[in-house]
Amino acid sequence: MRIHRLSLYQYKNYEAADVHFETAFTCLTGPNGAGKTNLLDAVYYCSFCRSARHSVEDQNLMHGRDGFRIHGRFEHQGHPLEVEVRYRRGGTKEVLCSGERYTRLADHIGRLPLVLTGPEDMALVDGYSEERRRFLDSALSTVDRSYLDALLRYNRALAQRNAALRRYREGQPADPLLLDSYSEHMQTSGALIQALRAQFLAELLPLFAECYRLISRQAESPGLDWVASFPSDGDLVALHRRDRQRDIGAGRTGSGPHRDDLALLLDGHPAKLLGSQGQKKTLLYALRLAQWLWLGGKLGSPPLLLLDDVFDKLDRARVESLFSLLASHSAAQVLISDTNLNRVEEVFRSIGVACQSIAVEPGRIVAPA
Amino acid sequence: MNLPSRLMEDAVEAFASLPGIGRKTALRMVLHLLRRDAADVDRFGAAVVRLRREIRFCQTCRNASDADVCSICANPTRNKGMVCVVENIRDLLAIEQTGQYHGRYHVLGGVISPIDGIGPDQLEIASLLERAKAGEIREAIMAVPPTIEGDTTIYYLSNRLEPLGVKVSTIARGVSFGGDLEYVDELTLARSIATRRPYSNAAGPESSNP
Ligand SMILES: [Zn+2]
Repeated sequence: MRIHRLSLYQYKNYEAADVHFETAFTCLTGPNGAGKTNLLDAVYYCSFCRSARHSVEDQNLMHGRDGFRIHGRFEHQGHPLEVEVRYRRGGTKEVLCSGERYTRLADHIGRLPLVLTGPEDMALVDGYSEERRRFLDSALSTVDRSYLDALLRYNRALAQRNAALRRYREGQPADPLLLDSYSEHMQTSGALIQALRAQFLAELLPLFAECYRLISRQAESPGLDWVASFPSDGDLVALHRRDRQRDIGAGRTGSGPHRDDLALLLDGHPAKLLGSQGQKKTLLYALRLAQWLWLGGKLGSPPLLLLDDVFDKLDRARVESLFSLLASHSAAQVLISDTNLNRVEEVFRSIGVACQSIAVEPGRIVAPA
Repeated sequence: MNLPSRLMEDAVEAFASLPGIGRKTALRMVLHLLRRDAADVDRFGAAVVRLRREIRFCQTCRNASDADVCSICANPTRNKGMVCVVENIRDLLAIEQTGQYHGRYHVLGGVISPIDGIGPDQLEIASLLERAKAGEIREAIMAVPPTIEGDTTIYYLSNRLEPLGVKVSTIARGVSFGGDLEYVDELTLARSIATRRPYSNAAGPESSNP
C-alpha cells in the first residue's frame, strides 16, 4: 500500500494543501498545533471513511466553511487507486473510489489497509475493553468479509435485543420467545466472531512478542490473554435465559462477544495495572506493529503505517530499533510526525535510511524543508 | 416560485407530497389537469377520495380489498392450505405479478423491530395464528427480507406455527434477494418460491447459507 499524493480543501485547519510523498519514510515536522495530526487524519479518513478523532463531521470542517474535500492518490499492489471524500455542512458525505461512489461505506473497508497510532492510542493499553475489541474488529474486518458481515449482524441483533429489554423494563410484558430469537442470532454470528478472534490472536502473539523484544531490548516477555465472556463452544441462548431478569433490569445484554476483553501481559501479569509508562508505550507500539505485520502477511503487501508523535512515546534507542525494523520491509511506507526536525534527521542518519521531511506551519505545508 | 393562484398552490403542494414527486413535476401535473374537462377531473378526484374512504382490508389475509374478503381469498381455485407470509401489500403484488404462485397470503404489516417500536403485537401475527388454529394452513412460506428483523420475524412465527401443525418454509434468499421483493425480477422471484426450503429452528437462522 502506497500513498503518492494528498490534497485537502477546507479540512480542519487547512484551507488548501497538496502533499506529494516521495520516499518510503516521510516525516511531517512542525510546532504543536500546526496540523501534523490533521494531515495524518485525512489519510486515515481515506481508508476508514471517517476521522480517527472526530465522529461529528462538522468538527472536521474548517471554521466557518460549508464543506470539505479530501483527495488521495494511492497504489495497491501495482494498481492506482484514487479516493475522494466530499462533505457538505448538514448534508451527507460521499466517498468515491476511482470515480465510483459507494452506496454503502462498509464496502470501502479493507480497500486501503492502514494502521495508525496517535496521541490517544494509549487507550488501547490503558482504556476500556471497547478499545481492544475495536482493535481486533478493525484488523479482522480488513481481511475477512465474513467477519465484518457477522459483526454487523451480531451488533444489529444486540441493538434490537437491548431495545426490547428497555421496553420490558418500562413495564411492557416480556416476550421470552422474542428474546430467544435475538440470542439465537447472536449465538450463530457470535460463534464465528469468537473463532476468528481466537485464531487472529494465536497468529498475532508470536509477532507481538518479537516486536516487543526488538523495540524494548529487555528480557521481560509479553503476552496476550483473551478474556471471553462466554466459552466459544458455550450456549449463549441458555446463558441469556438464565440472566433474563438481570438483563431486563439493566436494559441491556450482559453477556456475549460484545463483552470480551483482551488483557496485555508482561511476564504473566496484567500490564494495565502493573506496567511502567515506558513498558506500556512499548507494548502499544509492539501491538500496532504486530497488527501491521499480520495484515501485511494476509494481504500480500504491508498496509500504510502512520506514527503520530512517535518520539513523544518512545526514547531514542527504541525509536531507532523500531525504524530499523520497518526499513527492513522493502514495500513499507511510513508517515511520521514530530516537532523537532533535527531529532528526526539524526535518527535516520544514524540508521542509514532516507527520509523525506515536510515542514508543516499552522494550516499550511511549506515546500520541502 | 410564486403561483398566481392559491388553489394552484394547494394542488401543487398536494402532488408534491407524494413519494418521488418534486415541485416541478407537481406543477406540470397541475397545469395538465387545468387543461382537462371538469368532469374528467371530478372522476380523478373521486377516485382518490373513494380509495381512502372505501378501501377495506381482507378479514382473512389483510390484503387491500373492495369487500370483506379479498379477491384472492375468495378465489376457489387457489390452494387454501398454502399461505405466503409477506411484509406488505407491495410484496404481495410482486409475487402475484409472477403468475406462478397459486396459494393465499398473509400480510403482516411490517417486521419485528423493537428499535422502531414494532413488537409482535403491532403486527398481524394474532390473525395469522387464528388462521392456523382454525386448521386452515398446511404450509406457511416466509417471504420477508433477509435482515435481522426479517429473520427474527421468521424465527418467531415458526415457533408459534409449528406446534399448530404448520410446515414452515423460507424462499431462497441468495444474492438475487438483495432488497425489496418489488425490485426482484419476476423469473427470479418465481424460482425462489418454487425452490423454497423447509425452515428449521434447530439449525438457527438461514443467514449462514448464501
Ligand atoms: Zn384475503
